[in-house]
Amino acid sequence: MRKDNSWADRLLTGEILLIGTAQIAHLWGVFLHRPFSECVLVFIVLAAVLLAGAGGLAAVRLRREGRSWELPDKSILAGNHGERFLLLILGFLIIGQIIYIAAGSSAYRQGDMTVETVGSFLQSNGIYQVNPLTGGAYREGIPLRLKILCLPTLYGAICSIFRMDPRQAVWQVVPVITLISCYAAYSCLGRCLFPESRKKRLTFLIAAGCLLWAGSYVYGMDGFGVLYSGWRGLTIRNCVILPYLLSLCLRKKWFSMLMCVAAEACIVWTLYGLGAGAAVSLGMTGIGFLLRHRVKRSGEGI
Amino acid sequence: MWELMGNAWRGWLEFTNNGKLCALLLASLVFLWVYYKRAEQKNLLIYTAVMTGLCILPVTAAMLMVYQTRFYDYQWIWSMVPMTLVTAEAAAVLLGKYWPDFPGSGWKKGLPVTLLLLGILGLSGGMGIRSGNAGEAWNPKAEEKGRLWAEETLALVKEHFQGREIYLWAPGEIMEYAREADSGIRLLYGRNMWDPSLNAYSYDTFYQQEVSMAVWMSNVPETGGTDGGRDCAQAVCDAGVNCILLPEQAAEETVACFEEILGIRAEKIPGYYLLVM
Repeated sequence: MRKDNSWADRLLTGEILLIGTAQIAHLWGVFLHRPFSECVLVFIVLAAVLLAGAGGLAAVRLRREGRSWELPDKSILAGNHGERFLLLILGFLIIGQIIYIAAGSSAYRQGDMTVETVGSFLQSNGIYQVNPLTGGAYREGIPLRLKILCLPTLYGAICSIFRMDPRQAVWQVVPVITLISCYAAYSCLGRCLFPESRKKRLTFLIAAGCLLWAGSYVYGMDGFGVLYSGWRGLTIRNCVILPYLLSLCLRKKWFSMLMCVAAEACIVWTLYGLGAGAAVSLGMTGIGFLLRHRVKRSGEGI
Repeated sequence: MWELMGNAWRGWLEFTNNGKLCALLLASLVFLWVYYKRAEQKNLLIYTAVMTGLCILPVTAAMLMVYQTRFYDYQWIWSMVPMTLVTAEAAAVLLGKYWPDFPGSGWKKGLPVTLLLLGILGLSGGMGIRSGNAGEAWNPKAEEKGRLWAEETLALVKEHFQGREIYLWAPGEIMEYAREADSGIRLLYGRNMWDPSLNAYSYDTFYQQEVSMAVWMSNVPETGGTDGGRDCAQAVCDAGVNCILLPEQAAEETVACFEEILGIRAEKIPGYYLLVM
């Protein structure tokens, strides 16, 4: 099993770290009752530190390995005729989905108030200072477990930094990032499942893309989430974090698995931090352990 | 617990009502189990098979719903089943077997298999029919039209306020989109009046008077609002609302009643009477 990191691993790890950064900035605002603009500043500073750290690490690594800044030898466009053809199909598939999402006319907003929440953060310059649905003060308040979820702050920071309308950021920009991250997660899985064949990996990604289109028929399916509500925590969990987590389970990258479980707790209401990620990790690890134990015992028997 | 199990069973029926990707998952599992026996992913197959079984059986599904805090509906327990992953893996394995030299030789076998898979996928999916939460049909185009209409109307309203804060009471089709269009607009009641699933996000509840006012407003196009209009006008005045939109179907006496109590003149804008204080 390949344990090395690909571009997809780096992208997804970066996103998970950004979620962590947003969580710190969000908690800063919630518990210290600081203005939202200050939370954005905290987010920017932490994100800059992370970026500088990542850049520094990459530079040190490149220097140690004595390589220059260039594309990896297995460049995206390399490969035989069949692979290039598959890459073309995959490209069309992804671009089609990006255009469909970026058009922004198919946002499923039932049961969701992210846009109103982000707008209220920006308008009131505070986190949950007003009820996002009315703009007036809360009468009874909001559950703490919901209050500490960080996605509205992350989206609000995006709006603040890039001077975007909340609708544009939440319904168009973030879902496109989610879609790309979803393919990145499936790319990691493809590398685990078909390490020997790039052609099979590309076929796998195309099949996953077709399944996303075909599975967009009902609320709760991966395709519906990615194409119609890519900003929701549940979608990011189902289509980005969990596929990536499964690839980490297959590669036995324990620390990154923990990071995924923690990231889920930052964006989705979980049972004291035990969400789907924890269940998947435990399930996969437990079954793997039992299988290894069985193989060992049958080996001893021989 | 019985209620939760009932929810789990109804959830499963709803989940499989429109499309059959779950059936495709089961077929993929069988195919991979029989054909593809690579040791390193056996744990993935076993995990998927076990989780699929747990999500289908009402008792275990109810337990998983408890685990996911009951805040989320049945369909979200399927998050733990890597449906897209396993189905896509089966498709990649099958195509790799029947068309290994894509797109060159082997197309006589490979092309029919590819078309067959695409056909199965199309028939298993929803063929363009979308169902939202609780299985209701969802039409994004109609929603977009409604959003644009609300934005045009709110732009007209804002011209009358010139930067002053707006505290709005209007029909549902405007109130639903008002806070999205401009987070500076305050509303008498929020979108959770029409979308109860949003009530899960706060402990706030509606006052009975607000519910009565929402019902009255929604009935104006049919009844003209003659019954109970005076009470609503008084309540709105007491609440401090400074902008009212009445549907254009409102009876003359209803509009007159509002004008009298609020002491202002209504202005006709497309689709509504606008009362600005």
